[in-house]
Amino acid sequence: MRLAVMTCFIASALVSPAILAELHPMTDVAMAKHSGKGVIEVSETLAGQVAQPGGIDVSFTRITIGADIDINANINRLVLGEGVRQDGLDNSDNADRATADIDFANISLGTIDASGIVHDFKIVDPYIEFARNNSGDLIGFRLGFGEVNGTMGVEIKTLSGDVQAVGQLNLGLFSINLDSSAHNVREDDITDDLLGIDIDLGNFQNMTFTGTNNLYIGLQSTAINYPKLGAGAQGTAQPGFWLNLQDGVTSPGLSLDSIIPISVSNEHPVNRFTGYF
Amino acid sequence: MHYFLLFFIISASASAELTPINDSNLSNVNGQNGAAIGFVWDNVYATGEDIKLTLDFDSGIPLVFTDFYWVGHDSARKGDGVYGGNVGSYDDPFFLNIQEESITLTDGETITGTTLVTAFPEGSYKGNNLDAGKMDLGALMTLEHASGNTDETWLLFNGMHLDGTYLKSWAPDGGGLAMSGEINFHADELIFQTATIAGAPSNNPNSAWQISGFDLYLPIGHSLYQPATLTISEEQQVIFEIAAVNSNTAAEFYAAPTGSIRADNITLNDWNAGASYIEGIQLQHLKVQTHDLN
Repeated sequence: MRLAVMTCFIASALVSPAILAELHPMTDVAMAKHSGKGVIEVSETLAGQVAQPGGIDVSFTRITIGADIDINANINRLVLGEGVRQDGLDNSDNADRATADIDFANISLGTIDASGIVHDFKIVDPYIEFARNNSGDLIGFRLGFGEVNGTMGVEIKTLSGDVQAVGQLNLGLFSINLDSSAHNVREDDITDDLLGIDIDLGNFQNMTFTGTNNLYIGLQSTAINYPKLGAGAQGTAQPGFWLNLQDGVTSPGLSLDSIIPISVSNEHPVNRFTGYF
Repeated sequence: MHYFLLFFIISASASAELTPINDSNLSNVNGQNGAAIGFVWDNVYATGEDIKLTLDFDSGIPLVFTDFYWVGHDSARKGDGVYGGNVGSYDDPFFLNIQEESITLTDGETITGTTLVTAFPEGSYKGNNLDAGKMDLGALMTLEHASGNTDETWLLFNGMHLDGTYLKSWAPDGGGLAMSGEINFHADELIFQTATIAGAPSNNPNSAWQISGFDLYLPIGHSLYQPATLTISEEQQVIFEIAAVNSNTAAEFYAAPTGSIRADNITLNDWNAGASYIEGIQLQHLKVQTHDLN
């Protein structure tokens, strides 16, 4: 495309001394006549209201967007906190996976069914929250969601966080209910609380969220207990990037891959139209 | 409470520099795709030391923004040392353009339309004259809690530009206004720094959340076949929606560039978190609807 006309934009055409002279301070009386209700809400949690590791004082400011978000999306890769951790922690038994605090591949939010109908992943009231110490320094930040519902596909390579999910292991003649959790830095396994064995986090693949109200990703320079939303469990966020996901999560991918071959139930949810992978 | 607006936009050029283009020169200009107009914002800056923007919420915690500035990269933020920056150049101007577009979908249907394009120049985005296009943007954000606590934070966007960002709009069949576009945002540094109200931001990263080498590229819909719309519901709620992809538009959608976000390095207080990135973002559908506006 060739530009037909090019001209210089002269600022004086926008703002002149005469225009500036027309500006007047708004009085409090005039300002008081204006009102409105916004979609943004700010709330405060005072120091001391949430017990902190080491007894430090931490205050929180949360900014919530009052909105419903229906989204269907694919993300090839999410990597947070890549590089050598400052505290030297690793906690992975597989060194090539421990290059980041959080490393997820092939994320899908929502699904597309065989008829081509798009099913969204639903988010309610997303928020950001700042944590400050008693000197006023910013020591933590998190992005969270008031509630999420829907199906998410993900290939977890490395995880730092608190994750708990329930599933059912089908052994043919009978099945076992599994309730498994991971609570550490740069993990690639999740431990089943009943059987006490490790399951590769890569098995999750397909997770369903039902009224999940404590999902957040945080970044902290020190261990922090964030204020809880809802009834879901929530542990202490460790320094670095940290994911909390402990409420209303089910996964058919909780298979004992070291014993039993991964079943068809572990397949990644379909979120592309046929023929486009 | 006083509100006073002080807003300067200064051009190094004078209006006398503009000269009419004569018929002979005009005849040498070819437009293949409708009318367009280009702009160069030359030595532009704005400072608002006395602007006070207050957002009140039901919680009674006002969010106050003061000390705004938008100046040339590495310029002083107020006073005599302030200088501006350039948005666009004569080779790559900020421009408005009207163009005809058409696209053939999988079922053979061809959609045609006239789009109005508003775009930041691609020159810097392509690596040309990058420093000249950078600006510094900032403000002081203050939260006045009901408890009496006051949180003061400088929001500092240093060395930023939007080159390559554009917005298209058109009138789709069925009425209304449809949009699509791309966000190309770069900043050398994004800094959220604890501050005292009287003090200028320091360069001490140990009291800040600092993101270095930040780049955001995000397509918002696609022209003609995946429109984005902004509407008001009967309940007076704002709805922003990017239309869902379907089997007829999937081929075009999956062939289009995908979004990405990257930060070369992130530090929080004295914690160095290294690099972070999100790659291959495809928005197959998005609907954002407020529920608290009334």
